[in-house]
Order: sequence, then C-alpha cells, then structure tokens
Amino acid sequence: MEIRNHLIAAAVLWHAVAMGVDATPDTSAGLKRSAWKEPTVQAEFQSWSAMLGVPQPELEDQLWTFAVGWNAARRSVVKPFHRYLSWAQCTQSWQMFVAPHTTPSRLQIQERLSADAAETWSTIFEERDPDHTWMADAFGVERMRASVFRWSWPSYETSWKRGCSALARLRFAESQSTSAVRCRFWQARTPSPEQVIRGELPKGKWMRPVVVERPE
Amino acid sequence: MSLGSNWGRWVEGCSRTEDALSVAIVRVAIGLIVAGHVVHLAWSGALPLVWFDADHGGLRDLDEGALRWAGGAVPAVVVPVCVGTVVSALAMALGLTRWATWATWLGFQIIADLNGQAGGSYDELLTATLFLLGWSGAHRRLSVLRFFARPGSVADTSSLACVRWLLVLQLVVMYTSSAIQKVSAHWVPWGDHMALWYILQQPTWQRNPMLWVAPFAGLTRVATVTSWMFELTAPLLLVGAWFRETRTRAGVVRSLFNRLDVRRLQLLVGLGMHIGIEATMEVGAFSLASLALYVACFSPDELRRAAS
Repeated sequence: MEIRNHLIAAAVLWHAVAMGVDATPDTSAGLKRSAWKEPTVQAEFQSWSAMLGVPQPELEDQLWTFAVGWNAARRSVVKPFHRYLSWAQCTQSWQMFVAPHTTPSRLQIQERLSADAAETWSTIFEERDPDHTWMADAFGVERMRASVFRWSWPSYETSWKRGCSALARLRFAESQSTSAVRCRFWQARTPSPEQVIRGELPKGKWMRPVVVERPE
Repeated sequence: MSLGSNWGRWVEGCSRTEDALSVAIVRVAIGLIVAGHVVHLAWSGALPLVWFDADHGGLRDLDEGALRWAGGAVPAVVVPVCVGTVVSALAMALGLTRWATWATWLGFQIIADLNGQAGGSYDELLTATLFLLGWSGAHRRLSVLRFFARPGSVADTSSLACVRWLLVLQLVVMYTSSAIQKVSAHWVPWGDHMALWYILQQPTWQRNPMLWVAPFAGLTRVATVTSWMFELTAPLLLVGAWFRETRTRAGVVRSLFNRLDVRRLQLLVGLGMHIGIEATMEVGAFSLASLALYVACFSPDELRRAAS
C-alpha cells in the first residue's frame, strides 16, 4: 500500500479524534461567579435545586468544584490537538442556546435635541419595534444581535460603553441637532404563555443607561 | 482481528475515491452562503460596526489577528479582504479551482476572527467545512470550466470519499455537542420543556415579536423535546448514512436501520427544525450552512439516481 494512503488514513483519524475531543463541553466561559448572580442563571439553579432536592448554595458549590476539575482535565486532553485545530480553524465550540434567557433585555437608543429646552429624550431605535427604526437594518443582522446580546451582561461593561459611544458618534454625524445619545436596556421577565393569554405582562425596569454627550 | 488488519481496512477505506458530485453540491452551497453572508452584512450597514476598529467607526477595539501586519482592522485593509473573500467564494461556487476554496477559508477566517463578540457558531461551521472541502475534489464537478473543456476530453471527477464522511461527522459532532450542553431545566425532557418558548421571546434572536404563539405553547413544548432529542441522537445519522451506503452487506442492525430508513427520518426532522428556526429567528448563516452539509449524507450514486 502506498505511503500516501497511510498518511491520508492517519490524517483522517487525527482529524476525527480532534473534532470529538474538542467538542466535549468547555465550561470555562461559565466559570464567572458574578455571572452566576444573573436572574436567568439563578432561576436555573433554583429549578435544578428543586429537581435534585439539593439546597441551592450546596448545588452551586458542588457544580463549581466539578466545573473547575472538568475544565482542568479537558484542557490537558485537548492540548495535543489545540494547535492543529486552531490552525485549521476547526475548533468545535457548540454552545448554542445552552440556557434560554428568561429575563431578556431589549436595547433602546434615544437622543436629546439641542433645541429642546425641556431636555426630553426621544427614542430613535428599539429592538423589534417597527416605530423606532434608526439603523434597524444593521441591528437586524446576526452579528450585531450577538454584540447587543453580550452588552446586556455585566461582564461586557467595557464593550457596552464603547459600543454606545460608537453609535452616538454615528448619530452626531448624521444629525447636527442631536446633543446627546442615551443607550439603555429594558429588562423584564418573560411571561408564561398563560400570563400572555390572561394579558398579565410582568413589570420590567430600565437597566444600565449610558449617556454620551456631543463633544465640544 | 489484529490491529494490523484493522489499520489495513482503515487505510483502504480512507483511500477510496468516488465521484465528486456530493461534495461539489456542498461546495456550491457553501460558496454562495459565504458570499451572500458578507454582501448582506455590507448591504445592511453593519460591516463597519463589527469589523472596523473602534477608531474607524467600529463598536469596539478588535483583535486584529492576521491583519496586524497589514495595518490592522482599518477600512483600507478590511474592505479588500472582504471583497477578496466574496470573489473567492463565488469562484469556489463556480468550481474554478481548489485554490478558490482555500482562499475563501483563509479570507473568511480572518474577517470572522476580527470580532469575537459579533459572531456565531456558523463561523466555526463554515471555516471547518471550508477546510475539509479544500482537501476534497469538490472543484472537479459542477465546474464552469467543464463548459470550456475540449469536446471528448475526459476529466478527473473523483474525490476522496473519506472527506465526505468527515463532513457528515462534522454535522453530527456539532448537533451532539450542542445537545449535551443544553443542560437547562427548560431543555431536558424531565424539565418543563419551555426552552423554545423563552428563546422565541428573546428580542435578540426573534425576527418579529412572538407573544402571539402563546395559545400554541404546546407546540413549542413538543418542538423543544423534539429538537433536543434530534440533536442528542445525531450519531444515528452517521450510522444510518453508513448503513444505507453499505446496505448490501449483512447484519440485523443494518437491515433494521435501512428498513426504518433512519437517515431519512433524521434528515427530515433536522430539515423541519432548521425551517422553523429560519422562519422565526435570525441566527445568521447557521441553518443554511447546516443544511448544505445534509447533501454529504447522500452518496453521489444516490444523487445521480434522484436527479435522473
């Protein structure tokens, strides 16, 4: 048998094993105690705590210990394949809708006009709102949605502020009468289907406002 | 059976060639998806926001990666790379050369890696698929160059069959890995099955407000369990496709798989899931890229028979 065939067979085996090993769950992204305080994450812990009959603090501690240990073991197994997978751009991170967000956030962008003596804010964009559609085409594409989704998490505070500043600069450039831009999130618990049918929508609150004034 | 004979069979299987029709269809689809994705991003006005550095109109400071040597994530560098990626993706779809596939793989990974906060799993799926297509003979079939070939000339239309099987494995690994990480109490069958209800209500991913689904919430519960089970049992797709291809061989399990046509069942459920996702959510090129790989589950002979 030709040496070429042996090389092909070895490469196929290597690639298949590398894919399988790298596709094992990587818990490093979830190893942030601050992110565990988010309402959605806390709701998950409550559900599992009730299902397993383990007190929530104990469950969180056990899970933390397991995740740290798993991550260390996984890292050592993946290590021999890591350089190859990175070079080939064949990394296998498939964390898709791992846990649905039960208290989602909705981005809103507002402007204040320099001629407005009352200094009121008027909305120019709100996610999925047909009446406020500034840059709606851009916000509608998945890559922008992915950015906005991350901004709503406290761990992306720096990106959130930089992002709002970038959007404000765009608004200032196209509207000379805009004196300030405010970005913020409306956060509310997702109602159950039964609540929707009864017309009982949960109350929400405005979160993490960022105000960008027009530079002098 | 000895290790040596097992290795011998593996080598024999991996060096087997087949007509390149199946991988060529995947190639055409992936080329069009990559080109369409980048053009759509530019058309919507989002491209500068996600792929330019903050100092040049972008949303954040980017990881310039491979572009650092060329001057960074500035318009004068990023735009030519995007244009080059679209051109090479179209050349790849047309089947001009194998190098068009490699150029698309290189260009797309450079731009997709610029902003890790503005991407999705489809970036990984597309680059991994492009990498495998680069090793295949996909450019030898459905190529416009055939129109310019001398009449009567015989072209090599072969491709390593193992590359097609790695594409199927890629699809299966993606689904299975995704399922075992869906550990939310809203996903698992012993939970409340509310995952899809909540996901559909998320402004980030929904195409339109979805509260109108409330009277049909039972359907979202069924779809939640079906999606989770489909993804978890994705290895059956690989086994089903293999048994289908080797259906003349003996074996009770093979015979059962073929009688139930497990491969077709899996693909139909997957198709329904992706149509549902595309109809209600915006998840980028994910569904189209996944569906493109479904073609790899069929041998070239089956596709030719279906076409005729």
